[in-house]
Parts: sequence; structure tokens; C-alpha cells
Amino acid sequence: MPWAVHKLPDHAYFDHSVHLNAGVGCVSCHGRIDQMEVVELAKPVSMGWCLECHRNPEPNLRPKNQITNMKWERKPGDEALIAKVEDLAPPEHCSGCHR
Amino acid sequence: MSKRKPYSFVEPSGGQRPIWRSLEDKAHPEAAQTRAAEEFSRDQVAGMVDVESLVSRRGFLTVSAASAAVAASGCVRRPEEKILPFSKGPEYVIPGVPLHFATVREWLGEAEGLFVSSNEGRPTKVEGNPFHPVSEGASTLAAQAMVWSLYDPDRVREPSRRANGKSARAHANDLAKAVAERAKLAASENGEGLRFLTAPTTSPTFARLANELAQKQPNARIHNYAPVNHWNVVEGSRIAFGQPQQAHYDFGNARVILSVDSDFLHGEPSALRAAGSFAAGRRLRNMAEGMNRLYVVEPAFTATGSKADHRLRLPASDCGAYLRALAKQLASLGADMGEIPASLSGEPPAGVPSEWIEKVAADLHAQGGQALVVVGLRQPPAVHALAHAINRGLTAVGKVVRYTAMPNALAADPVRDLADLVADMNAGKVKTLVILDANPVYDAPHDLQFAAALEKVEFSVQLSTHLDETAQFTTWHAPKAHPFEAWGDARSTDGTVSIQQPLIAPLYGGKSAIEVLASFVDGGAESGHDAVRRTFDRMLGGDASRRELIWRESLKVGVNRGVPKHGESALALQVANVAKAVAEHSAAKTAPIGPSNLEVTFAPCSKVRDGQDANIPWLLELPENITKVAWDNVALIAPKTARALGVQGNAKRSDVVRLSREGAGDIEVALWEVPGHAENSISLALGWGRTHAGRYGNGQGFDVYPFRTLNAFWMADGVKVSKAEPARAHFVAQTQEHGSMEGRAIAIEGTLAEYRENPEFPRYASVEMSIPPLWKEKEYEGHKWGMSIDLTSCTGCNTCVIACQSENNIPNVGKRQLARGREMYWLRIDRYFVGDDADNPDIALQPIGCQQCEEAPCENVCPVNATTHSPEGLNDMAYNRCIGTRYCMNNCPYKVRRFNFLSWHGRLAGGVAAEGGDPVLGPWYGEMPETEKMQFNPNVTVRMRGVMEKCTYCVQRIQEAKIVARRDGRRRLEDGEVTPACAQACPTRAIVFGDLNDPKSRVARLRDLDRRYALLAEIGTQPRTTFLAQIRNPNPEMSS
Repeated sequence: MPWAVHKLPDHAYFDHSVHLNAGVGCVSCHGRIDQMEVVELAKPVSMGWCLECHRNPEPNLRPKNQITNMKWERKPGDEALIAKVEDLAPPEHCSGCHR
Repeated sequence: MSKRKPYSFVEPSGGQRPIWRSLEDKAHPEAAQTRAAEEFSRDQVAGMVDVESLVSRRGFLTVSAASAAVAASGCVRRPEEKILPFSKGPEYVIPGVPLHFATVREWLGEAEGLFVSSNEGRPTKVEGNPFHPVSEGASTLAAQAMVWSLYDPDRVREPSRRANGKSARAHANDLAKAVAERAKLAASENGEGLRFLTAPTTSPTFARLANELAQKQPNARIHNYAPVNHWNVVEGSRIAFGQPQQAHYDFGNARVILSVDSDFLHGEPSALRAAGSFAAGRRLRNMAEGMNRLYVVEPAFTATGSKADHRLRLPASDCGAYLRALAKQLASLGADMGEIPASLSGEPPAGVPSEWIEKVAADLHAQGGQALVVVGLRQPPAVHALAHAINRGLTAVGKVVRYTAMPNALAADPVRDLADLVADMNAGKVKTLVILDANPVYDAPHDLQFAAALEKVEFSVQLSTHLDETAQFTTWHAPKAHPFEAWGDARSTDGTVSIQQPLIAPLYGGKSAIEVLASFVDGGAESGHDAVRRTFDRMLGGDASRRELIWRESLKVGVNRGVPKHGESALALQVANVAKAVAEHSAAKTAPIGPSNLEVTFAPCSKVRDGQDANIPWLLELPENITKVAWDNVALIAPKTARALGVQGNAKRSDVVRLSREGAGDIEVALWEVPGHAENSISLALGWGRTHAGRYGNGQGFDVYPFRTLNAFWMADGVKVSKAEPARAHFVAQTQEHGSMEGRAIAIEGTLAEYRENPEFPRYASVEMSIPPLWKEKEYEGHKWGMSIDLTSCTGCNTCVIACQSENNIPNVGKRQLARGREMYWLRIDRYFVGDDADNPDIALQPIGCQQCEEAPCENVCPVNATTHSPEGLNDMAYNRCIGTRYCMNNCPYKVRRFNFLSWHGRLAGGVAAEGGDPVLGPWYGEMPETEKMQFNPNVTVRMRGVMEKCTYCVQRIQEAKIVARRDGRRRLEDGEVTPACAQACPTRAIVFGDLNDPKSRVARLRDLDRRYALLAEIGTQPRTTFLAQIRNPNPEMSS
């Protein structure tokens, strides 16, 4: 069965593993796949949108064991389980994504 | 052009010896100054719209119609693409994560272990195997280029059959049937009339199959021939010891080394290992350390000659006489040479200064055995035997020279072996000829007339990757599997056995030489894998579970640890035999080399070797390490000899001359004058002028094989030189003139004495800025990447340049564009001549990539912020932002930025080589062949026309390592976790990369060495790359 994919331009590089290990859930980029009748692009996937999160990742972080949970919502007390932003320091310079 | 007053060319700075790029510069420094003031050649920037770039009216309409169609179909921001996932994924394959496999490559009786990266099943990059004793993680130029040859678009895709002079494609089954029939026929007559022709191989499986064939079909015969082979080395040691012995030289611990016509750092067998150990004996960490001393006697500059502390230019034919004179002198100093000196006259050849006999002998003798002599593979066996005797006389054996059994000895002289075959072919004794790994129509000695003999063979089949020159004459042709597609094995000179492991199924259904030979032995019942495995099992013996364990380990690490290395052998030197051989060789001396008796020498090209790599544009375009000539093999000659002959070969005019000699075919070749070349000698490089190499190699350079004969295989005298009729000049493209030092201290060097007197001398020449900039400097808290390049170790072998090209998807531009200065190398190796004597200069080499300046001049002038600074100090380049103003290129003091003047990737493939390119779209809109695209590194953007690019310190590797570290929960990378492609490939470990903020890292320690300096430090760019000045160790007693 052919898949439609989130296609990045050839000059941008993305690595799933580092995002998942930081605690960014699937839903943050791919949207609520479980509620889509026809799979579609949920987010703009533009450079501005990437950078928004790289500059302030906090809202998109969750405990690592909740990465695949699409219904997860932040509750008080979850902070302890979530990675510290200063430990992550996502790159904001060009070669972070363009090589 | 800048308004500042240019540096003076005439006066070298800071007490340095004069440095020049070419003979023209040396003779006319003022003209060079004017040229340098232009900064870029006029050609490079002029003609942005030239004839080539003008699209035909029809072509323009086609393109505009196509773009109109795209525009009309709506504004599509990004095309939607669908993928088809594996319903069941292949084992271990994770999309985007490369796999690495160990395999092996052999050349000249030596095997080199490789690690090949594979992205989703596509091999993309070759590295040295760190576990293999020969490569120790480094690699050779040829190994780096192997990955391109896998995807060569001109590889033959199906079998073909020739009948009545016409070749037609044939079905694989028909070929198999025809071969099976011949095999059956031969088997019924005990192999009568069945012959094989192949290059000498170190493969244990091939040897086993050859043995089995000899038992089953005793009349069949396997002939070995390779145009470049190590027979002289084998035979020389057989004369000296009674049986072939492998000499292992420890260049790292030798105090004094004499190299006689030997390019042991690049062209000889085992050069990879030799370069590493030679550099180890030279790498000074402080002024108290000592270093080895290298004397070189050779006709033409080689990589080895460029590292020499003293170099004597001498025709190759005179090298034997030189060594004899040296032996006599050594004996008179008390070295034990047995009865050898008695048979010698001891008269040195004309033009050898007496100090080259007396002082060199004294220096060698004074080292108490820590000295050695090496002889190159083209010198006759007697000279090799004499060198063994000298090394024994120097008491070097057991100290810096060791002998083991020779695992890769040749049974017969390949030239004689081929001559036997041709004689039998002409006599009608050969009914079936199977050519497994050879191209004799192109590279056999001229007097054998191989093609004519081949016509007399009833059934001949060639197995090769291309429809080459030989394939035009065989009755059948079969596609051959690339080494990355087939099972095999190889043995190194120290006895290490490695398995050649395939990375990909044969792209065009090719077979390997082992598989074809096996089909004659057992009718094709055994696959390549099974044949290799059977050899392995036999070699190991013992129980099956242990064998299985070692087999898996061998595949994983690339070394069969179940087979012991050879122990040292204790065979005594047979002095009497050596004396006899030396006396015979001495007596056979013909007319001396001089103005009336010119010499030619043959050497494998330092890039395409004997011609088997002649369709690889990476290597064709690579500027040759000494001449910096690309896309050609020019004949090298001394300027004085050229003047005496009334011809010239330089950037202004390169005359085509006709060389003739009795018994050999006449050849025409372009001349090139090289300072430091021996007079009355002409050096020819093999491997060029191919007619059936493929779209890139065809017609490039000059075929010099017709000048080679049975008796003049490596060198010949009595050569007549005349201007070609009609007189004409050849268009030679070289990069030597691109990028000039303008009299500044760039490639800095000094002698060991100068260094000890003033260890910081490089920084007296390249003065670091003492005033900080007016603005606040950036502080680097995390990683601070830096690189150190040791000019003392660098041999200019060009491996890093090709490693960089392969890693970073760097395009080739073709000969004409290269001549305009539009080459795209991110890393180049600059070559300068040093010294006052234009006839006998030294050479300084310097690899230059982006210096990653902390105060980068390029960044300030970019109007669109396409080049910016990263928090780790990298000078980033965002291709998609670049609008191509080229301001950064103009403002870069190191001239390392490269501009995509044209769409190179498509252009070369469809354009230059295949005259005319795409019939509608014109010369460079031609599409790149699909197979070539498979080589691309998926982690590096393929750049388009109109953008700037440059060295990134392999930022993709840095990011990858950081991602791995983050996944493991680490914030910082350890030293050695990131290695750029150039540093990884370097055989001498001259390039070291790492974190300057980590005080324990290798690069931080190298940056603290006293002989470090930054390039053009005084302009305040604060480069992250620093150099370690080249230190030479001349003998204070020698005058030159």
C-alpha cells in the first residue's frame, strides 16, 4: 500500500531518534493520526515551524514512556519525568539541519 | 582587485627560501605578481554566458514550455510523493542508518582491508579497516575511488558474442552453454588447448582452484600477466636468498633511509603501510626528538621524492650503477659485503657528485644498523639483490629490515608468461582462451602483437566490467562482477588473510574470476561463496563449530585471525649469487645515458594506475601530485633537456612530440617540463589514452603502451625525439597556477637545526595578531572544533582529496572548465617548489580546505546570511539561502570557496565527455546517469547551479555523532568520535580533527606544539585549522 509521507526538502535533514529520545511525541508533528479518516499533513512542516519548537521545546516535551500516546495531556507533577530544556539545547544554527 | 599594495614576489619573507609555483613564476616574478593581483583568472569569471551556456532556441523553448506547464498546474509548494514500505523489512536495515561491511582489495601482491558504508543497500563510501594490519584505518586513493567504479554507467550489462567482426548481445544462457561446451571439450582432452590469462592474484581460493585444475586437467595452463607487477622484487629476493623472501621495512625506526628509484610512499606495493610508518619516524612533538633522514635517488619527482631531505636526480638506468658504487664505498668503510665489491668497478655514473657516494655511505654506515636501502619495483632483480646485500652489510636485518616467507610470490616473470601464451596462440596450440582479469590488447608489450594472436584463437572469452580494447577481439564477452558484488579473498604480505565480502548483488548479473574458474574445475556446481568458504575451512582445519565462529569473526572484522601470520625467516644471504648477478648486470650496461642517448621510463600513473581506473572522473580530474595536471598524462622532462631538444612544455605551450625507438611503436605525447627531473630522461605514465575505457576515459591523455616492449618493459634508452608532424601543441589543464602565495609565508618549512635553534620559527614568518578586534569576541563553551595538519607528514598522495569528494558529493567539472579555474575541490593540495636552483628544487606540499576562521571574512559580506557562524565555531553554509553573489569567494583570503558556475552534476555526464550532450537540451542540461546518483552520500545536500560551497569539517559526521551521544544521554563528544573524511583516509595521519576545548584531545595537544602556525595569521582571521611546519633533516655534511 503506498504511503503519503512527510517529505522534507533535500537540503534539510531530520533524525527521528534524537527527537524521540528528547521526549517529543509522535502527535506533535504527525497530528492525531488515530482520528484521521484520510491521512493528511497536520502541521506546516516549514522551517519556521521547526524553529518555533527548537527555540522553545517545552510545550512539546513529554515523559519518554508517553511518546506514542496520542491522548496524553500534561498533568501537574509530570515535570520530573520530562527532560530539562537546558539539557536538550536543540540546535538553532544552520548546520543543525542543513548539511 | 584590492587597493592594498601587493606583497612583493621577488623578496621572500622572513628568511625563508624562495618559493615558487612554476618555472614561469621563477623566471618572471613580476609577471606572476601582475597575475596574482587579479586574484581570480579572467577566464574563471569572464564568459559566465559563453557559447557553452547558450541554449539553442529550440532548447530554450522546450525548457520554457516545460516550466510553463509546471506553473499552469498550480503553485505546488512541494510535490507529493508516495513510498512503498517493505511489508517485511530486511534484517538490520533501518532507513537512514548506514551499515558498514568489512571487505578487502588487492594490488601488487598486497591486500588492503576496507570498511564500506552502505546506505539502504547502496555502497556509498570506502574507509580503511582499522583492524587490518596493512590499512590500520587509512586507505589508498584507488580504494576511495572503488565505490565510483561500482556505479560506472559504462559497465557492460549483458554478455555479447562476436561473429564476422560484429558484436551482438547474447543471452546469458547461451554464454553459459558455450562455455560449458568448451569446458567439457577441454576436460575430455586433459585440458589440452585450454588457457587462462589473469593478473597475478593473492587469493587463496584462486590458488586452490588453480591447483585443482592442474590435477584434473594437467595440460591446461594459467598465465599471469599484469602491466604493473612486482616480479623484479620477487626475483631479486630469490637471487639473494635462494627462494622468494618478503622484506618488511621498518621506516619508523630507521634513522637513515636511502630510496633508489622507489616511490615507497605512494606507488610501490605496501605503500600504505610504509607511508604510515615513515611519517611516524618523522613526526616531531618537541625539539628534543629526533627524526629520520631520507635520501632519494630518482629520475622524476614522486611523492617520496617530495619528502626527501636530499634528492639526487638520476636517470633510472643509472640507478643500478649508483648503488654499486655505494656498495663498494660501504665495503671500504668496513661493512660486510662478502665478495660482492671485488666484482664491482665502483665507478659512479656520470653526474653523481662524490658526496652522494662518500657522505651517504658514511651516514648509512654510522647508524649501527638503524639504516636501510629500498629499491623500486622497476629496477632489475640484480639491483634488488644488491640492496638486500647492502642491508645485511649495514646490519639492518633484524633491526629495521625483517624477512618472512613471501606469500604472494610470482612463479614466473609475467612478461615471459604472456610471451609464452602469445607464442602458443600463434602456433595454434591455444583452442580456448579465458581472460579473467587482463586487458592485454591495450597493455601488453608492443612486440607481442597480442590482438593479432588473439584472432587465431578459436574460442576466446573475456570476463571484464567494460567492453574494453581486448573485448573488441574476443569471440565472447561476459560481464564481470565488481569486487563489491562478489565473494573472494586476499592475502597480505605479512600473511594476513581477509575475506572479500559482497555488499550488493551483482548489478548486471556479473560473475567473478573465482566463479568462472570454478566452473571449469567442477562444472559450476560451487558458488563463489561456497568456494571461498571451502578454502577457508581447509586452511583452518579443526572442528566445524570453531570454524564457523572464526568465519563469522573474519567477516565482521575483516581479518581471519585463525591463520597465523608468517614468522621471521632465518635464511642466509647467498652472497656469491648476488655477486654473480650484480656482475652480470654491470657487464650488460650499454651506452651511457646522455644528450645523444635519451632514456624513457614507465611508471603506473599515480591516479589511474595501469589504466584499469581510467574511466573514473574523480581520478581523471584529480590534479596529479607533482605537476598538478588534470585530465592528462603528460611526458615529464627536465627543462634543460627540453631546451636542448628545441621543444617546450609549460602552461604557455605544451608541444606534442613523437618518440621513436627501434622495435617499439612510435607514440605521440605532450611534453611537460618539471623542475627537478633528471636530465636526458623522459618519464611516461601508463594507463591513459584508452579507446574503450568508457565515456569519461576515452581519448583522455596519451597511450604510451606501444612504446613498451619485452626487453624495454620499465625503461629503455636510444630514444629519438622529434616534433609531431604537423607540429602542434596540446591543451593541458592544470591547477598549479590557481591560488598563489604572493610571496607570503604560507607553506612554511625549515631544517631540524633551524627548528632547534628557534622552535617557534613558523610564527616568526606568519605572525599572530597581537591586537584583539574592536568588537567583543565570541566565546565557545561547548565544543570548539579544530584541525591540525602536519606538513612534515603529508606526502601529497591525494587520498584525502578523493575521500572528501566521495563523502561530500563534490562534482567534477571537465577539462575545459578546470582550466578556467572552476574546479570544485573543497580540499586541495597546493604544491610549491622551494629553493634557488630551478633545476633541482625541493617540494613543499600543503593541503588546504576551509580554515573555519573565527573572524571569518566571508560571513561579513554575505548579503543574505547564507554563511553564518555556528555556536561551535563552524563556518556554516546554507545552500538554499545562497543567491550566488560570490562576495564571500572574493573576500576569502585562502581561496577555498567554490562556486557552482554551472550545474556540474548533470553537465559532465551528459555534456563534455559525450560530445554534444543531450540533443535537445544542449550540453549541460544532460541528466546524470541513474547509477552515478546511487553513489551520493544521502547525508549531504547535492548542490545546484549558482550556489557557493566549501569544506564544512564534515558537519554531517559531527551532527551524526552528536545525535548518537544525545541518544546515550551524553552532552559532550569524546575525542575521536568524529573524524572528517580527509582525516580518516590519511595514510600518514597528517590530518587530526577534534575539540579544542578538550585539553586532552589530540588536536588540542598538537595546537600547543611549538612549530604550529596559522595561515596568514597577521590578518586576524583566527583560523581553526592550524599547520605544523615542515621540518627537513638534511645532512649537515652534504652541500645539496
